[in-house]
Amino acid sequence: MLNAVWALLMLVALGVGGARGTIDSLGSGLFTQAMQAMKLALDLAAVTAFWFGLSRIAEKSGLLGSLARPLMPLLRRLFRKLPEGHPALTLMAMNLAANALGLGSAATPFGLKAMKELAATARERETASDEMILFLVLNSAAINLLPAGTIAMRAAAGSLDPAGTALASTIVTSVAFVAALVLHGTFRRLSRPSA
Amino acid sequence: MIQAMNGLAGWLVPLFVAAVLLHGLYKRVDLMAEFVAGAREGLELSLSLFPYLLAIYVAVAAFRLSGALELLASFLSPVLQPLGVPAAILPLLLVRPLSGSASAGLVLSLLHQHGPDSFIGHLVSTIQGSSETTLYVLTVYLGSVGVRRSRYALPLCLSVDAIGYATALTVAGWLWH
Repeated sequence: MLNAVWALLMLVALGVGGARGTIDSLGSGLFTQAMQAMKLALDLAAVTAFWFGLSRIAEKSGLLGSLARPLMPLLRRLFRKLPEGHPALTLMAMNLAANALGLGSAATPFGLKAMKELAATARERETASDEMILFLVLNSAAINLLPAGTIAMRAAAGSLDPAGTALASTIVTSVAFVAALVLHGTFRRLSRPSA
Repeated sequence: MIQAMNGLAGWLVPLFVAAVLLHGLYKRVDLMAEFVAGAREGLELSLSLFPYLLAIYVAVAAFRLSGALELLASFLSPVLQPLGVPAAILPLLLVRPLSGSASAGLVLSLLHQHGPDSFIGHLVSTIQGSSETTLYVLTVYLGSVGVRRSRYALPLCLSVDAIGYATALTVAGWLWH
């Protein structure tokens, strides 16, 4: 899929360049752009490395765990099929907390372990249960308080206010989170109960 | 109001860093060693992602420099204009659910081209900061537990993504237009 998109972009660009006589500037432009990509990527790598370092401290100190605790009542209510104290609940809370702080590197391992626990409670193998799908959609619409990657990119591009879109992202993800809950209910009802 | 929020946002990162360090100190974490280990992981990840970033960055730049983006935009403007979608962000909306590194490359090039503090810059930052690589997450998470029948997972997640993009457009319109 991505392969086709990429080839299409390049070939259409070269084709249009040839047809419109902009091919000369394209020839030198490709290399200038490649160098620019490297410069930006280096700046970005520095900020990413810093954030990963910080994220590891937050994980080891247990800060992430204490931020996950307030999410537990909400998750218990959403995943009624899971018995209280089920390990999947804690893992999902850790995943959502890490996502909220833009610590994607810390979020993924918790998410994968949570899926394993959810799969163990599923009635059927090889079929996504309603609980698994609910977790997936909550995870992909996870409320974001501190979009670290975006802040890093804005800083790398020389923004005067790299964190300036953090609040907007929080608003958008909050709307998406509610939409995810509502739509999950709708889709679940529309889909035939997994037979 | 917006100024007050921007002031607040400026405090967000420093306060968070301070909180993480102080809590780590209190819990007797070896701060320097853990930081360095994590940073190494981050650096390795960034370097391994660079070839993808390069591929998409150059392709999008070529698409723009050749005039193809202009053509596409004028072709699609009857659809996009009424919805209030700037043509420049169209490629991002298409690629965002597919690939994290590709959309990062697009965001970087849009930030560079329009300026991070322009309307487009704020809009793409909001979109990038509030969405996930849905297809990647679905593939990896479901794949990790051997699920083949994903039922309504994909249409559900993509619908929620679309709602997120529409909300991002609205919010960015309020705050920065």
